[in-house]
Amino acid sequence: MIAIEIHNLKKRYREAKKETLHGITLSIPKGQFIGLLGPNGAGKTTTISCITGVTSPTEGNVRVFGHDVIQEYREARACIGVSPQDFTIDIFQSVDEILDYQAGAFGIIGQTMLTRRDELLTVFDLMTHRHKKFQFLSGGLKRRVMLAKAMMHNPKILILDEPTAGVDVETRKVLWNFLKKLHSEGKTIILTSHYLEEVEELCERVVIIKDGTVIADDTIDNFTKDTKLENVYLSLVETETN
Amino acid sequence: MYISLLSRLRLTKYYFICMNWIGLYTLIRREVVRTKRVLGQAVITPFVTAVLYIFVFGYVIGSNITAIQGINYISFVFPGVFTMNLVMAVFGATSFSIYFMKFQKTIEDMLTLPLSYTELMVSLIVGGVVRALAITVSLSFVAIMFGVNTLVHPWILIGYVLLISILFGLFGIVAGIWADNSFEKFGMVTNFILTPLTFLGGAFYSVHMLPEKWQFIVHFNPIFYAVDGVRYALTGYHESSLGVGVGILGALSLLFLCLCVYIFKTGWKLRS
Repeated sequence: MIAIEIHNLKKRYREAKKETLHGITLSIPKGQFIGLLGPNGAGKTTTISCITGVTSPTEGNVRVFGHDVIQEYREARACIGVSPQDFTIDIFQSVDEILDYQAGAFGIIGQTMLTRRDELLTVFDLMTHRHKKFQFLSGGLKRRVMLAKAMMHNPKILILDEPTAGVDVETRKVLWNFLKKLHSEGKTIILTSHYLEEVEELCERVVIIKDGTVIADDTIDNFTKDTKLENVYLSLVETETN
Repeated sequence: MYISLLSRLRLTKYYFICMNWIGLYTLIRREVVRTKRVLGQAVITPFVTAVLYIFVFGYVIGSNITAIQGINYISFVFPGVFTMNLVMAVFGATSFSIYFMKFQKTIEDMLTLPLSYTELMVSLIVGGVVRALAITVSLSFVAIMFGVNTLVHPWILIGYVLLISILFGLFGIVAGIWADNSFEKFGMVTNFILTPLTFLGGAFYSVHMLPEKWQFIVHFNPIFYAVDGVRYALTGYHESSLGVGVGILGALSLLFLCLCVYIFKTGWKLRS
């Protein structure tokens, strides 16, 4: 079963002189853990934004479990949990409020919500910070809240845009274990990260985007057959530049 | 009976597909909590403003003005002050809510939720209406303080409060989106549109006090009809056709509703 089907995705921002995405086509099967790599400005976040509904594609289409993200946005979005690069949160809300509202927006209330919230607060070690307002949390804690929020409605697909940026080593390990557990349970996960050891540790497939085009798409085993992912990545990106 | 039950189930399913009720309730709760968070700004500020206006215009200056159509000046001016505060507060509630969402980028978060644009709009409007009702209660204390104790048509007053809230709530959404991330643009709507319209909308004077050739201009001002309707509900006196007033306020609400739907549907200034 295909979780995400991206067909000929093109995006040109209103103020931009050139296209950010040049017809990306990608098929992600259910249960796959995929790493989306590329230099800054390659189009990773734009691709994610088109999947989640934050950005409208200029051309092409995206389907999530068969639902078009524009026409059937409600069904498509219900399948996705997203932790964006920026902290897109009302900073005056407490951690508890953030998770409550997230659950409510996805139709989860009552005991189910309370159980899920406490479970995630425990996993991300946020119990002691639950009543604090988001603005008073440290960078690492804010990142953990974003992750807990993304997982609050137990989505089939998890999209994590640089989720471990600014996170301490301990939390990173905790997150890795949690993601491995989710993956073993059959969740589809898309991860973008500049930490290549993270991608090597977690992902089973790697897609490299540069200048809005997919320049490489293979399994992690094939990528790392002879050398480390970092070397392969750098050689691919530099080759494309030259 | 079986067919009836089946059709009812289908209807229920249809409604549940069309509306995310829990999601809508959550958004409304969030807006109400936000209003409670800024209670000083939401309720106390209009209260203080109204006290100052009524004291200066109604009590100090008004004691030297003869009754208008048999109504003492303080009772005549109170509906104007009430409407002015209501308009400003409701407009401020929705416009700032959407402006703040864009400024903090929380709008991006909203766009990833399985909620329709209608649900998002309804939540903002309900947030504005809740604030309007809170202001109505707050300003009724001002009325009592200054001895303005006429309330001729309470249900009409509630109707006008709702109509004004919806119209200026929708206008606030459009203005908040239009303002992008610019405080200057955000302030422009209040300073150059709302405040002049309020002061020229008969809040502090009778339209008959104006030179005859200028009187018709007032009839192009929607706030005039809002003030006139509220004045009728409180004192029983009105200066224009109430039917025309409701029609104009209703038509403008519909216009702004269509504009909001268009903006959300196309993603103008919302989606990159």
